Amino acid sequence: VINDVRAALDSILGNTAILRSANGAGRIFELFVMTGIAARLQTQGFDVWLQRSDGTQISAGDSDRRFIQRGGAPTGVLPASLGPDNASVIGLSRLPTGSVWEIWNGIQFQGRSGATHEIDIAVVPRQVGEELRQIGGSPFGRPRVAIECKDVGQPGTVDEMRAFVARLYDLSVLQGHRSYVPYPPPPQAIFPGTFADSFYASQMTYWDENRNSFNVVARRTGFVAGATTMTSYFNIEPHGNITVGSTQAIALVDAVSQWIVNCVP
Amino acid sequence: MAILEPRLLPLIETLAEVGADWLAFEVVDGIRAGKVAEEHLENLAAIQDAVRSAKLENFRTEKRVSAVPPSVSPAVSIIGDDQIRWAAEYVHKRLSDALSMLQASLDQLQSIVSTPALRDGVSPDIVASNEITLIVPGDEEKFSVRKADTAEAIASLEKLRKALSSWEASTRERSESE
Repeated sequence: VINDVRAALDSILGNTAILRSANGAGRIFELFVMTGIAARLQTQGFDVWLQRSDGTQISAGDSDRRFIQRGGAPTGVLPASLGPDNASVIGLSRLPTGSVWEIWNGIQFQGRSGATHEIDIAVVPRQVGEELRQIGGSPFGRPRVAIECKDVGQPGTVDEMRAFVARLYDLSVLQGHRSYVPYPPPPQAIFPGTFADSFYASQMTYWDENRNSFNVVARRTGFVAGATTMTSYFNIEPHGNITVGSTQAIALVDAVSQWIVNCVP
Repeated sequence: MAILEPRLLPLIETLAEVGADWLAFEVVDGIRAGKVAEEHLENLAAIQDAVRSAKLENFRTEKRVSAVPPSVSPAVSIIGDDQIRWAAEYVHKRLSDALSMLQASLDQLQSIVSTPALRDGVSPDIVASNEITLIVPGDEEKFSVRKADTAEAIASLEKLRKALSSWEASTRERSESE
């Protein structure tokens, strides 16, 4: 009887070898959330496109219609000069303001400590992406939308929340930090141009910065009862049981896209 | 913590042999962890609302959702035949969830590319035939995923469900007859 199980598994994994990789299911989960948000924003009037690592758009009529997801060891953004064979991103432009953003998957951001932190899904201004594609490297600072994706089988504990909060705090650049971080900021910083801009302006406190961004822990499974402490204070939305067609998946995509609609310039 | 049922070993070995050792580890981890009390979905929705309302208010303490229990209940062990049933259900659901997400992701990528093309007057037939290919670099190889392959894998899920169900039944029967 176990041979029938083996035959069925062989058939499934033979068609989707990505599921033989230890990280395969996790990558699929991240892609599902990332593309879900982008597709929802497209229905809400944003211009949305797929973009190769060399900065060119992927069009329906192109001979090269590969969307390359980030994989392997986490890195920063690779230079566009390396060609189109590295990780793709999703671009989005708010109509009619023309404000342009990119959705990244699995990019390492640099914190104030100098440590790098991988953010599973991040929404950043396109200027940051353009700068980094010229020189390569990690963005400095905190993305406006940060989503931690957890595809593990066990329900989430409070330690996941602690780890995410710590990561976001190292990435936050507050007004009080300006005396010891580069100012004016480097071009790959998350605050392009100036700290004085109203949307990108550095905040007085972490409390303010948490509310000037949208932060989510998204899980395929649920959360252990009581594990969702440190959410309203640190402004981290816990979203669990994210599967295809679930009301929770719809709520997650709605929450992220609505924040982008309401808050980004 | 539960002791692993030796009757699970054929399933665990099979998962490892077909190249899904990560799934074998998840089965073992899930049985070791047992069933833990999870946050109810209604509570989770209330907590999401609390985060959003906290954003608008000027208080500086954690906003409690009253239904959240103050402490975590101990996990309930999965033992005996329940381990066999749990493992069979877990393997099927895990692969089913992953394949559904993969298919939905491919559909969403296709939709993102197709929408501007259709708006620009490109024929729907041409747009539909120009399929997106997903490439996922792994540690040692690059995986290429197309919609047709994913559909084939999804079609095999029913075969897997029946095979796991038969394995579960035969494993339990063998135990009862011994």
